[in-house]
Amino acid sequence: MKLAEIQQALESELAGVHGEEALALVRARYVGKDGLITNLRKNVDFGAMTLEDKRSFGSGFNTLRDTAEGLLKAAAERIAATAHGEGLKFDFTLPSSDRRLGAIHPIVRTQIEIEDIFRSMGFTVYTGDEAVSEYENFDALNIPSDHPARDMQDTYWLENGMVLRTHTSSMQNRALRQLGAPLRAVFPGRCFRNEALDITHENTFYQLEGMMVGHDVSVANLIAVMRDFLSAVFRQEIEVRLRPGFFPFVEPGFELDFRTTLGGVRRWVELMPCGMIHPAVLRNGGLDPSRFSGFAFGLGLTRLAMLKHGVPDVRLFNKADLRVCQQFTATL
Amino acid sequence: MKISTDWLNEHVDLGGLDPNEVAELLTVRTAEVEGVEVVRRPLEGMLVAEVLSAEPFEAEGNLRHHVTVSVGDRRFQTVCGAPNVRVGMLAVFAPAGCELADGSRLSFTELYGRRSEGVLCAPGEMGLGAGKEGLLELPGHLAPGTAVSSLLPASDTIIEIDNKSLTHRPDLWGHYGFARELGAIFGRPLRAWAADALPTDFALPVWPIRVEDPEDCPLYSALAFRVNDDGPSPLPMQARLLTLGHSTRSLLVDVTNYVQFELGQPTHAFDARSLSDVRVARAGTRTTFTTLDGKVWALAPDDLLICDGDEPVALAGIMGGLKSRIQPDTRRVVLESATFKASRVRQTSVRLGLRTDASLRFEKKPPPVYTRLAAGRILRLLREAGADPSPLSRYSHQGAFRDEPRTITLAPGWLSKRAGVELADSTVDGILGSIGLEVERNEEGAVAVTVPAFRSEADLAIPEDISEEVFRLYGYDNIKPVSPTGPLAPVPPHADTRNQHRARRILSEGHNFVEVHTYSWHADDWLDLLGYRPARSLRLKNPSAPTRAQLRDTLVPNLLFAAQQNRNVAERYRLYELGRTFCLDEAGNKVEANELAGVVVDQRGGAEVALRAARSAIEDVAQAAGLAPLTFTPSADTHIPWIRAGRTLTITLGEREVGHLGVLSEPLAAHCVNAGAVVWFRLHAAAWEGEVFPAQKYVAPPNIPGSWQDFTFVHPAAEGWAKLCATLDSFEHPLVSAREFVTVYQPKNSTTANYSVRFVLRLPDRSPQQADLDDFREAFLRFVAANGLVLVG
Repeated sequence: MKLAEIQQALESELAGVHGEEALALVRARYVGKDGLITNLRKNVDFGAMTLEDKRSFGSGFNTLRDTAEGLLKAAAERIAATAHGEGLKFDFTLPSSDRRLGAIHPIVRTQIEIEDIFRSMGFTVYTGDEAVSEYENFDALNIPSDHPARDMQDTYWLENGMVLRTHTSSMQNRALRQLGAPLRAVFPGRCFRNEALDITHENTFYQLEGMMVGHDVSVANLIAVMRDFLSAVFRQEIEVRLRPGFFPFVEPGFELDFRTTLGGVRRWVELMPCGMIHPAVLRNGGLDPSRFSGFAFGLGLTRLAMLKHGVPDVRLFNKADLRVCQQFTATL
Repeated sequence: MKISTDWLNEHVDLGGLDPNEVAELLTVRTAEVEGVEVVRRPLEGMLVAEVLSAEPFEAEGNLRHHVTVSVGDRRFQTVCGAPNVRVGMLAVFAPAGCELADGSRLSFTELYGRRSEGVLCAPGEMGLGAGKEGLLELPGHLAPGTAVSSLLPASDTIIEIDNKSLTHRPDLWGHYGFARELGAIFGRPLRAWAADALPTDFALPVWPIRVEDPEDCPLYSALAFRVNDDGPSPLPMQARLLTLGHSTRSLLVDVTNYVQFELGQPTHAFDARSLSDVRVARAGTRTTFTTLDGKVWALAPDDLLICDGDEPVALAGIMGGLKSRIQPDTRRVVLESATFKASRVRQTSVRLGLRTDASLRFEKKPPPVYTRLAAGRILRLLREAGADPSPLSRYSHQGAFRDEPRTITLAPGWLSKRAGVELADSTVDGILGSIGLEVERNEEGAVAVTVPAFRSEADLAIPEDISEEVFRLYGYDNIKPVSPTGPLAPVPPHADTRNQHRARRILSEGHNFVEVHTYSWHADDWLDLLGYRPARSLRLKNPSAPTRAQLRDTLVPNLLFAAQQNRNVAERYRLYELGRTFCLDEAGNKVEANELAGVVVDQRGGAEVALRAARSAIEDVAQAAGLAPLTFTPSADTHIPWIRAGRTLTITLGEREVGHLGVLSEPLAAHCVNAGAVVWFRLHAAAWEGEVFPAQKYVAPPNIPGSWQDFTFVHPAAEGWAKLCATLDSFEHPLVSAREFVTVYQPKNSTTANYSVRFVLRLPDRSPQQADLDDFREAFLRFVAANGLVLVG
């Protein structure tokens, strides 16, 4: 074996050595008493060599031996530096400490996600009061003065004559007046209904109302926007369908169902009421219904949060229970 | 609401249609179908039978009869436990070998030692509803021996409709309206409404009607007539009522119910012996009323009553009275067919908890013209049943039938534009014609639609209402999605929500806080425990509980309660809520604001770490919004129990107070946690509201070396760092580029603490020399002496 080949073999062997025992074996095999390098000199017939050859061999041998020692020393240092328990004075495999990540409420997470989707579709986000006038909550929305929704068993009335808004639709009038048309806007927020609590009913819940108003906004536009929005929410192609529904602030009014191809059973799931904005609502908002048309929809954020996060009982959202709320750590 | 396909078939031929397809199309065109159920009737072998004899005997403590029936050419014996069995009645007999609705098959047997060759049937045994108590009684004109299967279809398909989808469609609260819809959907003709002419003969007397409250009763019509008999209703009528879960009594009662479920117009039949005129008036001072089921109800002054003189005979639109109800011997009848104000009926029935089929329908505002359609139909059905009704009065009324057709005009091309799809004139005309709306077009293409009176004025009044009729019957599924087009322009970034979400991210993602939601009202019992009385709170008139009437004027109490609720869940936790608070200002106007409040609980450690952690979080919230540094100064006592001098800091931004941060007093903390400290804070929106993208200017890092010097002060702990800082603030020297808090140490039992402060020393143009440093040190020591500060050592 030539000297250069021996050096090369040693280098490649050392690269694969990570423990002290393995290193000792390599050391013995190359520079030990019976080592490859040691034996080089033993096996040479110096008598048969010229002085010139002897000198040349001697210097080559010495260089190889010194290089080998250097390589072995470097490997020893490398192994010492990486050996477990050496170099650091503590157990560096202990679990993390001092976690900084808290949680955002699951309904708010859902709200932020939906806001982002609508923002990406050119809608602005707009918010307003929770205690509103009877006009904003009912009259402006074409809800007749004797409508059952105004009864005490459905609506929280305040002693000053105002109401806790029963829907984010209460924002429609203010948005039309303040933002004007054309308009694309969503209004997320807390709503209230005076009803008995059970696993699907809460007196305090969140909605996200949306409106699009412009020249010649059509039913076909509504279907397209809702389909695209829901496909973004559920991150897959969504089919939507409209069914007749009645809400005084839209005409025609629809119930929107959606259906996905995922999850085995394909069935229609009722998701949200929507419709073409009633001309009286546009008029109350200062717009001329012969010039403008639009659609509106009301998404139950609480319900969507239940659906997306698999929360089985709506009452869990307002319980301020750490065991529930601190689960939602993923950042936005 | 349940509808019967058998009943629908009387008005429109649905032959050959798959019930599931009917349900599917009804759902997307008209109203949501909740379910379809096929009801099988095991009529095979069942016969009309006359009861010839009924020998009573007692067995197992109950009265029973050993009965002989005739089915024409044959007689059978049976044992009957039904209370209504009697000699001479016609009923349904199922001989041995017949199958009953529960699947059991009858055989010859002996019961209590008596021969039984079959059974007399209760409706439930024939698949007509659930009734098993009494026998189904048949009208007298049927011949014994007639096969029941020749009188009734062997099955019916029941379609259940979601009532919520019918709130605006009074015409759909009966079978005829659905027949019209199905006719339109499947292109099948609707049969004309079969009714008799109402008597208008001037020779007949007017039935006296006096409506004292026309607003609550816009139309009252009445007709007195006589019948020759009031026995069991015809079998098909009973079968339809029973199958849909209604009870049957006698022809006079059943026929009013039948027409109610057919048309959606409730009517009421009074025994004319207890009625001489009709007065419609509010209850006023009258306090109770007994309905025909014998129940006594407490009246409110505004409840509307039908009275005979001063004596009430019905709770208007809800239920008739006991005294004037139809009796077995009633032959003279006053038929009421009226329109009552929806909200009046609803308010009374909701208050009493007395929701009836009639009240449900009046709440949907049936068109006034229905009163006449219903009365005519009732006369027709009585005549067909052989009751031979003969008028005792003219058909009389007070109020307007409003039966003139109305016209709604649509602009040319408007429907197609609104749909977003091209709708051919012929398509539109065909659809509207199929539901009884007439169309006329002028030369410009404007569409005049004539709406008949049977469609409610509330439902069809404006062009948009017509568009709904056209679009839904055209099929929303036939309108293809079209994305809106329009100018692309940035929308306003909504600073409110963006600022809130940023504050949330700082707390939740940077400071280990968990966001929670609590209710928007205080819990008075909890406030009492904390000793807090809000000033000028906004109150609910109808809270969900009397102790939940005050809207929260701060989020702190509910968060402290949340802290309490979680005290056994974790030892250390941080909660916050971002939400609305409410109160009244001095003028009594509502003030609504956003608040961000939090609690830091450490049930093992001390308050100091918790307080400084909360303060870090608050400072980060403000800094991330690009706001100037907040200042924290000790607060004085206030009426708010958690704001206490010596443990609360007032947070200011510039001159403006933006919140508080404090350590809960021990008594209050004891209410919230098992041990340890509770730190709370509340911030006004000003503490987190900044630019959506706060501007930040680059500052070049210093490239000339600087230096620093530390000083440690002995300072009264009661005065604190804030006071020491305030003093140090007035020291100025050109070398000082920053001053930093390093550490504090308070020896046990000492009233003073050692505060270490670092001065970062730097010059803009050169490295400080020893002379500069000496100059700073001398100046600072002079300042220390002059201000009475004490340095360690």
